[in-house]
Amino acid sequence: MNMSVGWVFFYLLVFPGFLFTSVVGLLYTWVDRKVTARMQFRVGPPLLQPFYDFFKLLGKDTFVPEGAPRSIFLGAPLIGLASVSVLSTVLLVSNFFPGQAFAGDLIVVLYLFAFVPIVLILGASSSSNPISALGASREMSLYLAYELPLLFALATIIVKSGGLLKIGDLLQWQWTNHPFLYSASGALAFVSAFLCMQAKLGFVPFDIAEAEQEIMGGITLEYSGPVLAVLKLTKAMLYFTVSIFLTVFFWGGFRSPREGWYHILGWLKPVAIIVLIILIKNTNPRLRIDQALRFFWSIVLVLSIAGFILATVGL
Amino acid sequence: MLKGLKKAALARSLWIYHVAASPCNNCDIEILDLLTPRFDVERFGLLLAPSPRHADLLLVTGMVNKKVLDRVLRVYAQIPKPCVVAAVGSCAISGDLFVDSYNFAGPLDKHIPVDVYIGGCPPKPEAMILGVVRAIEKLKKLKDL
Amino acid sequence: MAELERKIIPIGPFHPLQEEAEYFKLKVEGEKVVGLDIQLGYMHRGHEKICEGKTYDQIPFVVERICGICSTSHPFACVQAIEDAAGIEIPPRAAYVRTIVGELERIHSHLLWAGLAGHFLGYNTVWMWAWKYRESVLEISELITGNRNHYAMFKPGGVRRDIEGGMIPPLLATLDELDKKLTMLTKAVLDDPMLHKRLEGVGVLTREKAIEYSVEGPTGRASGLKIDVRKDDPHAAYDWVEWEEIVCQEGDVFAKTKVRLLECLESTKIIRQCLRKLKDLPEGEIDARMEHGPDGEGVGRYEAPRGEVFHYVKGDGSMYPVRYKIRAPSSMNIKSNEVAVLGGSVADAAIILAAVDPCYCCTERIAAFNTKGKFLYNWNDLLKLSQEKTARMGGGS
Repeated sequence: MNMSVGWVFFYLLVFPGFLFTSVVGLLYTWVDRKVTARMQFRVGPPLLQPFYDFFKLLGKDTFVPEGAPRSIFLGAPLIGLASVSVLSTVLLVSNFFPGQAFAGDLIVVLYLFAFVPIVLILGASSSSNPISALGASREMSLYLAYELPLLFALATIIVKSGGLLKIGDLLQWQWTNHPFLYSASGALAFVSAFLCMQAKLGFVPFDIAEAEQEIMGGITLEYSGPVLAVLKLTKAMLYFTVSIFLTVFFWGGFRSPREGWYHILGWLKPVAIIVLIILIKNTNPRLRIDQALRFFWSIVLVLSIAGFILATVGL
Repeated sequence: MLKGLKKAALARSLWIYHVAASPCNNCDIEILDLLTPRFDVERFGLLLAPSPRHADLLLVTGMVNKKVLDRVLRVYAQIPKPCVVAAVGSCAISGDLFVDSYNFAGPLDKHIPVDVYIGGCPPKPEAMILGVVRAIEKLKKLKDL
Repeated sequence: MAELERKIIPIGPFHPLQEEAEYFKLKVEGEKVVGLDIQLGYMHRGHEKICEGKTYDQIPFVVERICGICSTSHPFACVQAIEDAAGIEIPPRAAYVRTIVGELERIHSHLLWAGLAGHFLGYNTVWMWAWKYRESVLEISELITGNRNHYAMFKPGGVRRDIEGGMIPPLLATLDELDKKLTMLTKAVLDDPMLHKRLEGVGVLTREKAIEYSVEGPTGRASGLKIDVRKDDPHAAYDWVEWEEIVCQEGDVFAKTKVRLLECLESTKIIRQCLRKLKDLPEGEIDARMEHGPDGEGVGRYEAPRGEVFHYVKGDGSMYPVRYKIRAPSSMNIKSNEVAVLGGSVADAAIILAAVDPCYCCTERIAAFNTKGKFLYNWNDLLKLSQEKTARMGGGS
């Protein structure tokens, strides 16, 4: 660990941190909208649309609702943005520069992933709007439901790799042996982690916390202008980060030591994951919160535990 | 430069909030029709916003009656500026055949500043797209954005 | 987690769930709905009073603007009321044209509902799909009447435009195509396992409650009530063609979806038969002349996509009515939400409130202003006012 402070800032703010992730994340939201539009027999927005939306929101007024504590209401989205930036940096650094990782970065990733919904809940409950509060309580219940299967999924690959806790080491293991996805336990873990990520992103069928037609966007309801832009950007970055997360932990990362065509194909892995997420999003209605909770507490949890047990016996 | 960027971005990303101020529903379903495959205004960056706080373009339909007027004013106050207001349909513009109604609160532009008028009963979706184009032209001409 | 205290979740007046302004107060404990308070009045425009100042020829235009989605149903019932009062028989050609336009409207209205229901469930693909097919119905309407909605086809005594013989073969071909699309959509929606999960057993309105709240149209037919004005009180050409009433027993949102989608297919059946019969009829009159205003009372009933529309007219021989009364089906159906949402979650409430296909602008015939927390008129005051007016008008029922 002999990085200079300058490099740390470069990693965090430019590449592969904030700037890189936000640009790719916004492009991802374009992919989302375009694929959605094509599935619905429409043409869809132009490539730069997410950027227009972002800059437009920066130029608008911001309202703080009456009775909301200003610091929490406006601060929460910023903390969310910061944590996603750090999250993507930690995930990507190990992928691009495997030597630069630090011990226990897996734990940091888990923490930061948990941070985003908590920050959203904080901001929404501070807005003193009953509908936002309902959105916050739904986000909370959902978060509690998908967190356990996610932990089991990660435990599965840790057991499988023989107790590695560094993302770089996990990647190295997959490069020397095979991606976790290609084993029985890894596949089960991938499926459950995938479903948890669909919920974390707040996409149909699990977009219960921000159901536009039921509770008017729930947690984002009271936000406007630049703060809304920050929230949207956080969402976009999370989008990218989720696909990287799944690729790195289960599919051998998108950059492998092997050269040639394989290299380019690797970059398509996160995109493939995102397209899969979009397909699920567009072919399902929204679940009720109790149905979603039952789904995570029974089916997904059982799947992930089964994967864990298989991993302990070495499958 | 920054101002120009903001303006260009706003012109390409108008989010719609639509207020049904006692209409007959026809303008409203034609507005929704704009988003569906035949017309697909998402091509131009228009989206339906769930909350007035996210909106840039306010579409008001219907003869504004006395009960709903207060709500329309409140929604207008909640939209972050700069924004564009369009009166959609003959009712919102003039009251149409409801001018005689005892519950008519006056044409929309008596209550809030209206930028674009889209006539018709109901206006065809094509006319609404033209109206939005006019709104964008008007936005581009604004100096203090 | 959500604390179990009683809170109020407002739906409306402006809410993405409803295209129109209305106000539902959902009383909830956590996510469970324990009560519903319905406040209407945001859409009141005073149609009945406006009608009293218009001639019989103008009234169909006014009532057409009651609602944009059922913009045929109201004129349909209106012209029937006027014809009833004046004792006019309409020529058979006009009856067929009326039926065709009415059924086209039913298809587009049901598709509109199916799409919006998908939208409310966060299933936008269904929305886009249904509305894509709805466009072809609007195209046919535009071909026949000249406008996508608000057709202005009806006048007392007949219709304003004919469907000429040359138009019929292409219309039949378009209809065949539409039939294929509708069958596909119906199959896809009714076979979707996720939709089954989400809609079955949700918002059940039992047969008893349906009778108690006197619900109408698809809402009633989904609860096992066999009511349809088109069958019970045949008018226009409904008696001359073969078609079936769709009735389901379950009473949940899924049954309502099923009834509506299958009714679309019945409607294409009716239109096809009408077009064929129209082709065989000789060209001729499409309206009967009305020489003077009716002297007396008349009622008109029509099965709108949402249920029975009822119009009443009282004339004194002049060209202006003395009293015009409108009752739309939604005023019955919306009330039934009070029982249907109880015990469900907030998420279910959204789709249940939408499942009766509410149309507030049809419904709101009365405006009692509540200024500074005081009711200006209560029920008894209104009754008294009405009785006084009837007495002034010199008897009558």
